[in-house]
Amino acid sequence: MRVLLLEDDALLGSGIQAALQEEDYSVDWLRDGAAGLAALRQHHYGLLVLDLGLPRHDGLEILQRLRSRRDPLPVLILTARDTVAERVRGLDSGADDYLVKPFDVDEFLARVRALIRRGEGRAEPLLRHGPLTLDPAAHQAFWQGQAVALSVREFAVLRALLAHPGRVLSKEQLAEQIYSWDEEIESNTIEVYVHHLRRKLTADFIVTHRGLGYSIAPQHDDPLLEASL
Amino acid sequence: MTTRSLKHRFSIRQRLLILLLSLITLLWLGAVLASFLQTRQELNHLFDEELLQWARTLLRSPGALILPPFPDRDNPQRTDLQRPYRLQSLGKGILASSHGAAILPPWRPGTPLLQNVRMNGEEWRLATVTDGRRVAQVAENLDARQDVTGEIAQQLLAPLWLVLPLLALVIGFAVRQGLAPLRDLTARLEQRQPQALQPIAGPVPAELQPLLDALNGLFRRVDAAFAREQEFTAHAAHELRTPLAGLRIHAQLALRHAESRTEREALQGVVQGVDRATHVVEQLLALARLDADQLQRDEHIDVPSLVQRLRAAFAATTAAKGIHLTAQGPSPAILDGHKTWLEIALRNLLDNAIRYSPAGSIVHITWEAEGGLVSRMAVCDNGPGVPANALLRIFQPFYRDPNRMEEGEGSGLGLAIVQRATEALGGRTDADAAAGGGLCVHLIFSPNFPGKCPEKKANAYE
Repeated sequence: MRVLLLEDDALLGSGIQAALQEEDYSVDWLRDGAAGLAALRQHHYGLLVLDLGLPRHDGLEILQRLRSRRDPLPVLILTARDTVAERVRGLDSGADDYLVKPFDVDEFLARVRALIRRGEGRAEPLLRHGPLTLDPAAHQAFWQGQAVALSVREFAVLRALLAHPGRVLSKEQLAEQIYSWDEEIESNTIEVYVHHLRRKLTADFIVTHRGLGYSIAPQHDDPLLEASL
Repeated sequence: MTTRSLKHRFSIRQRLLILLLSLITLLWLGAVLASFLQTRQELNHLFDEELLQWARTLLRSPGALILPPFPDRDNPQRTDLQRPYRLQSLGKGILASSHGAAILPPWRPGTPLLQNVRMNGEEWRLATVTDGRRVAQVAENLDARQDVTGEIAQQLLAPLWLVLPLLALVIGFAVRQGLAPLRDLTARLEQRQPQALQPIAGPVPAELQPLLDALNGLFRRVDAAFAREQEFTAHAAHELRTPLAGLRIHAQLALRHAESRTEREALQGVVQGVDRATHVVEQLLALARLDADQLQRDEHIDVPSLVQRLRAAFAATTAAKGIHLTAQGPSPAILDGHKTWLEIALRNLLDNAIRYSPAGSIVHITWEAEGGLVSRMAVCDNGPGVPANALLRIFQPFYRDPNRMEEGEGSGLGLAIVQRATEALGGRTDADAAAGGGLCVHLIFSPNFPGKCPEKKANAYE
């Protein structure tokens, strides 16, 4: 899952980036509003972590621009101002949640998970699809109730495909979801991860669409999928 | 006594009254004196004419005359007030004379027509006429004349005693009307909240305009200084939050990977330190906001229900330390003011009391009311208390009691906030030793309340 972090303070920014990376999110960290707006136009993110006091474009302005083009991206606001009026203003400008600095890292990560979950239209913390169950908080995968050992990248590919079951994601889209800018991407890595996943789960769980990309095979007992078909 | 102290001893109204009344009385007296002098002169002239007339009549008459006496109210029988006269022939001696004529000086050639002479120790007016053969002289006592002029003077002065009090009333009314704009301005100043700094709106008379301009200028400057100070505090506090957040997240991340107990404890220390610094920042912000929001909102705070809510809010903390939090006071009990300030004051007091109380002890919240209005509140604990000589200083910002240092995680701002919040509610704070030896902090909202910690009662309001 790719997260955009807009925070001008180096100490706090590096801390948040490290915390998110530990949870295997790929994090793009930018330190000013203008660069943030550019990145939001170019890439698809699962979450925006936004400091309200940014140089060049302030946080609320970015939020308003994002919402004015009907981008439903979940946004978590970080604010140094803790008055009720400030929080109301942030939420009314289109934020989904806020944290007042300083905050507890576990609470921060829990809110990140909750926002991503909501962004994918789920209320349940576990991702289920047929025999597969994914626990994003614990980074665990279960196949028919049995724990399956997955690498960080394999988990991320599976996570991205399960976010919208049935939707076809290209190799580039998948790569964008699991790598941040500063990471090298080898040309055949996505194929390698899909290959490993098919070996660890079943071969037909991930469907190849030639020239288009990959999707998760439909499962007939999945009410979510039926609804989306 | 200098002029300066005199200037400031009387009010403007008194000064105007005294000055106007005394000046008008002086002018009046001057006018009375002038008209008295003129009247007296005319009167003397008349009397003189009359005297001369008698003298001429005497000169033409063959013998004695009966002249009317001068009036004398006090003693009508006074014979000496008769006009003594003497008619003498230059060759034959005295032809006729009245009773008492013996005192008249002998005639000498060249005696003026009218003259004052001293006879028998009294002043007399003497008229002397002559036709070359005979001399007629008539005298009259000047005392009698003065009696008449004195009466005229009294008649002239009499209206003054009547008019003077009337004049005082009229001047008083005029001064009062004249000073009305000043009184209006004073009333407007008195009606303001002591902390209010918004300019006073006109219009005022031209004389007051410079004063009003100076006042408004001062208000603006003080207001701007306040705003700068608050802004600075708020800004500094906010600027501190971001690095604190950075510190905390790094310490927590490191804590996740800490391998030894020493490492873990060190990192936990960092997190606790950050939390304590955060608390200080929050208190500073609360203080800055208390100063900023001086507009007193007139809410009716239901004190019993607020206390009940606070007890619920502190339930987890008190339970963790085994502290019993009791509340006792009449219901209904209303306090007029800004609810947030009372809540801030009580939260800080409870926070302190719970922090310094030993496990298993009791913290009391009490309040009293006069006619349904809260006159006093108190939070008392069974903690170590504060030495009597330090009781006054505990409300100073950043004051830390050395006895409480070891347990302290406080910001040193809690009681300063309590004091400011209480003042914002129109009350004052006081502290003394609780019955059990702990600290009692009082919030006194009634000016005449002595402010002492009440005796503990077994049947606490639950």
